[in-house]
Amino acid sequence: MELVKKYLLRLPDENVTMTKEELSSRVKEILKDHPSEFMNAYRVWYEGFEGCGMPGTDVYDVIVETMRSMTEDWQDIGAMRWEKYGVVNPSFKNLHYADMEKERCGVPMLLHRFHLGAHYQGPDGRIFWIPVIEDYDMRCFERKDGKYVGTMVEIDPNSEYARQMVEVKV
Amino acid sequence: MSFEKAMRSDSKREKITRSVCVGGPMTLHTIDGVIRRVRPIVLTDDDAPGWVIKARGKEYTPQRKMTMSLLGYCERDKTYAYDRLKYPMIREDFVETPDGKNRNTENRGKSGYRRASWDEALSLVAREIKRLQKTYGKETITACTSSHHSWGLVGYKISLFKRFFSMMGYTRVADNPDSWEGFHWGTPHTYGYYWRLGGPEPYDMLEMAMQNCETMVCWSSDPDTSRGGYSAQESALWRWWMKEMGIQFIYIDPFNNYTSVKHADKWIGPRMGTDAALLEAIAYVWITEGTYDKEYVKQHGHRFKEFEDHILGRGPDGTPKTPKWAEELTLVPAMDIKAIARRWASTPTTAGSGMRGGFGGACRSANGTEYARLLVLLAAMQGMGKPGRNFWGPGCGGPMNYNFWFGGYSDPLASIANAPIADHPAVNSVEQVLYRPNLPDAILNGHYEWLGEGFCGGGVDLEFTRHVYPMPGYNKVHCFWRYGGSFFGTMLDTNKWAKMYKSPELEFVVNQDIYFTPETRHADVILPACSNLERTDIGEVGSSGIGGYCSHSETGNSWQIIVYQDKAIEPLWDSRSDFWIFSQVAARLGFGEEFTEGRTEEEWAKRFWQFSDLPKAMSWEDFKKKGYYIIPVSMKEEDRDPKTGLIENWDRYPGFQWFAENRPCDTMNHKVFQEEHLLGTFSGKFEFVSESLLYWEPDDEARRPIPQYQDSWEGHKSLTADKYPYGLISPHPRFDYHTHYNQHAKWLWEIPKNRVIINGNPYLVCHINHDTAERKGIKDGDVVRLFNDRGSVLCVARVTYRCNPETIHAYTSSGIYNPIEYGKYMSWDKGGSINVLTPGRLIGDYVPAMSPYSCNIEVEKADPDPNFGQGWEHILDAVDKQALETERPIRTSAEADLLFGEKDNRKEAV
Repeated sequence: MELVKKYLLRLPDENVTMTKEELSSRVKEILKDHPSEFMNAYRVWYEGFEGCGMPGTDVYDVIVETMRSMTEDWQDIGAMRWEKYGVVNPSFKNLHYADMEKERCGVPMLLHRFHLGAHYQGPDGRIFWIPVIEDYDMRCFERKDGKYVGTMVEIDPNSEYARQMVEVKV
Repeated sequence: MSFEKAMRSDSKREKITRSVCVGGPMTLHTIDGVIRRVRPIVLTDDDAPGWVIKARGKEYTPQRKMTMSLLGYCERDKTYAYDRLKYPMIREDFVETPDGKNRNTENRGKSGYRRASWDEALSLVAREIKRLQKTYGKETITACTSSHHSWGLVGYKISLFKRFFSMMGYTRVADNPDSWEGFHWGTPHTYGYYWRLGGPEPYDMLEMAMQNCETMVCWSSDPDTSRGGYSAQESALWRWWMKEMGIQFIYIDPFNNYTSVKHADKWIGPRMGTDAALLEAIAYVWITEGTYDKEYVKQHGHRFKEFEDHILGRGPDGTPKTPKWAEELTLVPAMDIKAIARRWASTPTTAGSGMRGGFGGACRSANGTEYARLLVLLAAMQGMGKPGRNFWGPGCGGPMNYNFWFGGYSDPLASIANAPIADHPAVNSVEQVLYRPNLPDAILNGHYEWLGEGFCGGGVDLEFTRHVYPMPGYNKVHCFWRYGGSFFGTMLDTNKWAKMYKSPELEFVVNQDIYFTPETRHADVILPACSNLERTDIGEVGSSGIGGYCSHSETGNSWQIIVYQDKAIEPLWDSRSDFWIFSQVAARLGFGEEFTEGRTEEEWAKRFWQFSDLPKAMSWEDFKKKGYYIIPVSMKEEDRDPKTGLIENWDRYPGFQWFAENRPCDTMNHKVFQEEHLLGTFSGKFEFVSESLLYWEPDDEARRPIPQYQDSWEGHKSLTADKYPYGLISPHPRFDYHTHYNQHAKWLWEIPKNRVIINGNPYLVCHINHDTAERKGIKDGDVVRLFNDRGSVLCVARVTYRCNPETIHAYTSSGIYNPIEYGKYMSWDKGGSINVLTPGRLIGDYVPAMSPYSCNIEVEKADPDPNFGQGWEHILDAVDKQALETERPIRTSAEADLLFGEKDNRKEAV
């Protein structure tokens, strides 16, 4: 008889055992159509499984292995700092992030559409720094010749202009 | 005709200006160069209409004026205070030795001073900085500031101060969140919100409560005293409304505080440091009686079952947290505990702590993180975010126009150190950092290690950052530049700060301040700054700004206001604006042009107008002329009630409602993951067992994965309790703000609940229970000594039933530190510096937080100090005498006449 390794998962209501395939399949299910731009194995464990305590190293390894195998959806980007977990290596980037639905229950997910603190170029070539994104507007400063010029600019994030803005490095 | 117009027409010699301070926005009437009157700003017909909240068949709208606190009214007295710094001064026995040694540092604090010219003082400072930087490197200079000793976006500490020191390079001192330690270090592990430093979402909570709430639990909360921080008395009216409409208030505080006396339907005074036990017992009642929101907990809670087991005694400690169990610890009768629990569960109840919901003295104790976490969890058990059921304190949460942008005082966008206000942002080249509560330990011991970044709004991980001083590759600090206010009085175990100043390790100490504070008296060179009534600036009220800490705290106001802080008078005596002082030193160090970018103070102030929404509403000239702008809560005409003209519609985003209703977060200042309907915890839910603590520090003994009551390391069960049997409760002061008023504004000394003047010295008032007083032979008005192994403080006793027999009450941060025999170890303080008694110990090994509410003391009747006055006035008198002997006053203004007595306008001015 072939021995099959079982993975122990401590979940809130009970301890659960899974085979590697089952565990891997569950990871894929959790990550399917996930709206996040970035992900790591801890997020999968705590948010997806609602795991209790640190994941076992064997469980953690399977989650990472599964994520690495999902090359069409998630890209291994190495070490990244997370506000909750500190530096996590590997972290992953969602390759379909730009195409994800950015609205739920009629509420726009603005922080999923624009990176707070980044610079964006509008269709007219003007470059804006976006330091404030509240739920229904964005506050920007135009950058010209290395300086911020003019007054504060308010851009409707749902406007056609905003939809055509592209993130740029300055 | 309005009173203001009448006043204006009365006298052509009168100048009317506006300003703002921690007491609120104000109108200043200056006649012949002397500030005569401070009044609240009364709105005119051309100002924006107010908002109206419609609740329970009535309509509520605020009065059309600003409601200054008593501190604002003291600004005039404070401006002409007896302890103003009039001239640059150099310590009499300071010797400018070439190697920085043998400078009589042991005499700091008791030595006299001599008057210096600005050129002499500034040149000495510049020479010393150059010497120190050459000898030890840039990191050898450290500097830190108090909060809000002055007001205005140009002059605030993260603006001007940060620009100067970052450009020069220095060892930064990280502030600890001293007013809300338990929430900062605790609740991020329960519901996230580390970016709000543990505080809740206040948005539109006033209206939510007025429309839906039936019970308010104000835990460790005295909002009429703490005033939402800097929101003056704006929210006092709101609490009257809530009271009038029948909302029941339960106040829980060992001291029956001032708001409780006015509003409480029930006051409960638990023994100090036992609040967590009281909360656990309430949870016990709910669990055993099945009166919590099971569906909500199931959907939004994480690992509730283990919490339930712990509460019911099925956990490792085997102790059911029954009301009877809690009664023994808290001294609150079990029946009262059951009654609170049942009332809370059976009516829409909103609970909060301290001035903004996530503050309060109870969280400043050894068990403070657990208290804070449990309070959040109990709010969650009752469906946090559902109508009327929430976590909020009634000192904030008023309607606000979130769509009008103007930077707040702690907003990184509103600083002359940063873009876009500055063309060239200032960047500090030194990475070494010190930690404020333990600054004296680091200087005195030459080595200190700690965890955390002070304010850890940038992430949970920052709580666990390890620091060591000196940082590898860096030299130690040998110069301390102290700017504004006094930590003597706000930092615990105050005597160690005095000891630090005497250390020869500090070769050079500069103090830049407006007043001769206890800390100023320890400097080698004193640079006299003027107050913000004597310089130009621009400011807001109560706004920490978007992106600043406790974002949108201006919801503590009924009116959002931006003030042009026009100078009412020229700088008094030989004082100068902070901007001028820093510019002069920068010029002497070779970066004057870079520092100013060629701008005057007013030109910097204009930049804040320019980079905001204000230009859409008002030109710079009109703004200067009017002196203020009221931001309407909605700009749209159609949002007004056609009959009254009041604004009845605005964009509403009630706090936590998004979470209760399972939709992406739509409140301000949110995080990316909240748009995925997750809280800032690891699981994205309320964590009854904290995963972040298990991840980061599972061995943390102060913060257990399941929040729970633990006996304090200094409390009723600790070893010192036999010797020092009373708990000292030292809340934020009613008659002061930090240390910025009580020493300077003598008007405050005339308030009998604040101080009692005996033999020329203003003794702080403490409250003692009748039974305690009788046992000790103390009568109302007696001088008493509060003491423990850390020191002694003389106070005047007020005998009362407003605190329980185990507790003695005295406000913290008295602003005055006056050991009777200065420099003698354990000499009794007669200034009311209560923090002489509080422990320097931090909450836990992994929780670098102050805990003044864990303090045992003894009390006895005492005699007042026979020496007249405060004991240091002769130092300033001597310098004044030098000034008279050496030259005529520098100014010939009415202020100078007032000082030198040629034309005594003082009586007239008063």
